[in-house]
Amino acid sequence: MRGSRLLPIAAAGLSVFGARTVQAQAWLPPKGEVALTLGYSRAFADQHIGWLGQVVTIPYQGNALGLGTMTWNSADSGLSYGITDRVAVRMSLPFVVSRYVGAFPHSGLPGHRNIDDGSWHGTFQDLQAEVRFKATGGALVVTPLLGVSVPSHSYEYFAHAAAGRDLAEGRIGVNVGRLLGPALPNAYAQARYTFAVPEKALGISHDRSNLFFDVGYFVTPALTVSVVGDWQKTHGGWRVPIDFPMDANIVYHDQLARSDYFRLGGTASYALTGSIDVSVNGYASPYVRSEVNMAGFGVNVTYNFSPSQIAKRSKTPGHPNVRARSSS
Amino acid sequence: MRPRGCAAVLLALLLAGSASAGTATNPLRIGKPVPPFEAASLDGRPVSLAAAKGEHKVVVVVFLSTVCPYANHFAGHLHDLDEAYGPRGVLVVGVNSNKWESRDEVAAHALQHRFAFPIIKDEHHRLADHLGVTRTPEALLIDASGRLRYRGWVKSKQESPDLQRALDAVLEGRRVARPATRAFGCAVDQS
Repeated sequence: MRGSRLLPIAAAGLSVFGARTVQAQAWLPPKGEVALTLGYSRAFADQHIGWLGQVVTIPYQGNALGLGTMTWNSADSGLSYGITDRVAVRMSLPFVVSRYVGAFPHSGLPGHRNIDDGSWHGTFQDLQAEVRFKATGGALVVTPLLGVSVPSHSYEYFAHAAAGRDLAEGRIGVNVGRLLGPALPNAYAQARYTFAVPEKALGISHDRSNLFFDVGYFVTPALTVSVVGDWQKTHGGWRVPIDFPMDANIVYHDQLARSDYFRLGGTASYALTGSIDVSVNGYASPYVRSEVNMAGFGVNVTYNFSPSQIAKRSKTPGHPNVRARSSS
Repeated sequence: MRPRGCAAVLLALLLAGSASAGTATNPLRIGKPVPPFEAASLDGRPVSLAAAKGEHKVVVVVFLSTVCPYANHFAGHLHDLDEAYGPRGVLVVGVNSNKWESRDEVAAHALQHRFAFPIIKDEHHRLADHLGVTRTPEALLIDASGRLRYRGWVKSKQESPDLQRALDAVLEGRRVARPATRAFGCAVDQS
């Protein structure tokens, strides 16, 4: 069955939680429609949290020093396209500019560039692609997905300020969504579960489960607000810092961190015109294990259009584009 | 093959699939005759475009849903339009094409929003397919000659009353300044 789909939340769906996670996407864009999203997000962290929930510190001259602060600015770009009314694809590629400020940088080991030098460093991160298939419609929409994430190039991963883990991964998952009317008119809820299988490092697997939820309310046709959350559980990998090796393999500790967390945030989306939506979001991390205490905010602008209709209009005699070409 | 290689192949397949994808088509054109249709309203009375356009100056066909927040947001406006423009020769026809919304739910919804106009329960979304409608709410404005004069949203997200403006223009014999808008909202269940 084909069920209700809400166009504002079927937009390109760039990151709410930084450049690594995307929104739930139970509802697909209409067939032939493109959603182009450009965004900026800023994430920051000032603590490394160990597996036991402790703040990781380094003893120095009788004091326990924190590991420093990290900031990531991300220019996000994404494109989603409705191939049919049941199948949609989405691609995104963030450009991340990051900086570490602190007393304990990851030093530039052979083969590794030291980017923890207090300066900003920019790089493209991972190209993400995903295909979603609407399995059921009706009141409850179920949309399975397959996705891949491929590093755009071999970027530095051994750094506090690393843009990402520099690992390819495949993902399988499912989105579910439903309108909550008539019990809760103007409200919706959607969730997304994904199981990710990243490229192994040192032959060690560190697969990952993510559960994202999004509960929203249409304040007006133009304004939507929602509460969003992202729970992550890593299956395998290294507990921080318990499992860290005391040898050269330490360079893989960020890639293999058994990162668990729960991030909670909110979004507000406003339709500037019939085609352009702008959204803002913010979040924090109430629960963190083997990960930094990331918090952040972002703003996205989405332009929704149909290439075929634009092409049709441009070929119509009397259309301004045709006149412009004729007179040139 | 390394995982990164596998991922690249999968990505290439996704891109290829995207590039060869089809595009949406719209069978109706502004200014062209709307293909005739016949259906029965919830109370069993026949509704046909041929008869309606003979008896009314304008027919407005609006696709609705009982749960779509956008359709419900504009329900009051539709009620007001029907009340204000009915005496001026305008027939509003509501259509619900969602398979999972029952006749009883549609009837209760009409009662809740005090819709006095006929509502068609479009079983198997035949009328939606016939008119190429994929979203709720979406309105089609058909003049007495059976030609499509406006298609799109009831109001914009910024509450611009474009359907009402189109109604005024057609009733006053003027050109519709904005005959096509991009309907937004929820999908029509076409399963």
